[in-house]
Amino acid sequence: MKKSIGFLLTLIIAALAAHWATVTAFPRLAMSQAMERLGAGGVNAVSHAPRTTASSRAVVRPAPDLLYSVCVYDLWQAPVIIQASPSPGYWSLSLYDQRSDNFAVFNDQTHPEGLSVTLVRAGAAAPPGAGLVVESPSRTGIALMRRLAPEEASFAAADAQRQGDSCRAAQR
Amino acid sequence: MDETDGFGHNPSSASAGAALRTLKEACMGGLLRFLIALILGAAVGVGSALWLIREGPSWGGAEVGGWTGSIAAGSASADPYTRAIVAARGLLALSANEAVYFSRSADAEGAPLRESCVYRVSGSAPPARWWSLTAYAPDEFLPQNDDQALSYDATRAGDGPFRVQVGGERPADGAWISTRSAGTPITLMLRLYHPNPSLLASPSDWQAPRIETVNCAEDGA
Repeated sequence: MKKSIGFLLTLIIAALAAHWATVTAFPRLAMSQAMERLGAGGVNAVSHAPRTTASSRAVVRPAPDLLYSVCVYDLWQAPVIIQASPSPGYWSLSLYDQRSDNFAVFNDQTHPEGLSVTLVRAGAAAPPGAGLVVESPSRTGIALMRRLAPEEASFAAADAQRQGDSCRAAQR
Repeated sequence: MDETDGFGHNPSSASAGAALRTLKEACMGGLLRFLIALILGAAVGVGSALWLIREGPSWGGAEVGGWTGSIAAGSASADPYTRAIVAARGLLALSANEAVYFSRSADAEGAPLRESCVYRVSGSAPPARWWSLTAYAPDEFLPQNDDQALSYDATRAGDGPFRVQVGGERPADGAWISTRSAGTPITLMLRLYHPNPSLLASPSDWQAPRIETVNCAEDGA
């Protein structure tokens, strides 16, 4: 009887601990996998995703009406400067930390002319002359630019505009 | 003093050895039970978490007319379950002020959305600056077809009420989202960009789009 209670107690505690560890670790693992896929072209560099099609497999539930550009950032050595060009209609620059939280977002209504963001580690000093400074809760993460492009014409316009996007480590 | 028995054994050391063996067996048995419980518990814990994250119901979300969405998706205030579920089913979701996401995998009668059926989705213009409706396969990606009809959005629908057919074959007229090669169950996702503040304050007041089954291949209709 005593042995059975001990067995059950151990099993329940192990199950609860493993359950909680999986739930809390899952977003970080999903982000790590996404950063590996999306950052294949290198970190702190913009990569323009092709138009979303039925065979797009980089991220779950892709939106076929939006054109995506992405920068996997790493603040290990220096702050990172991200520039987003404006685009006709809706566009946004959203920043995600290692835990998958969308900790900042800017769009065509807040910055109709586009914007330049200097991303720094939490508590770190911004480089001199930096304009808009945002603290990232984690060292690595993803900057995602979305542009509305549901039709051929809007796709061509958004595709031309996004060539002005950039993502680079700040000079020390 | 000689404590050996007639065969040259020491009875007291023999009983001590037996006790030691019993103790050792008991310890080994206990350790084995402990390890089995630990492994079983870990398997149950990891399995239940993965099931909940990938297949379970949406967590802490708003339910509107059968559509489920989470106002906390993508934000730092999301609870661990919402964060994990969003990471599995909609990684890189925006926070609610920028966009909210509602999904539904059943028709108005509660039957799962199937590839072999045709559905009519209709309603008034969703309360947002821009919206889109997309069908996803069970693997959370777009249906593998080349019909060029993956979604329907406000740009095409205009500001008034909308109606779109969801099914495997292009209708004679009207808007269409292709679910050919999607598999079953299909999930419809409604994205609302720059949602009206009233929706965020009180999602249940919104009259969400209705999904009606028009016919199913098995019906012979």
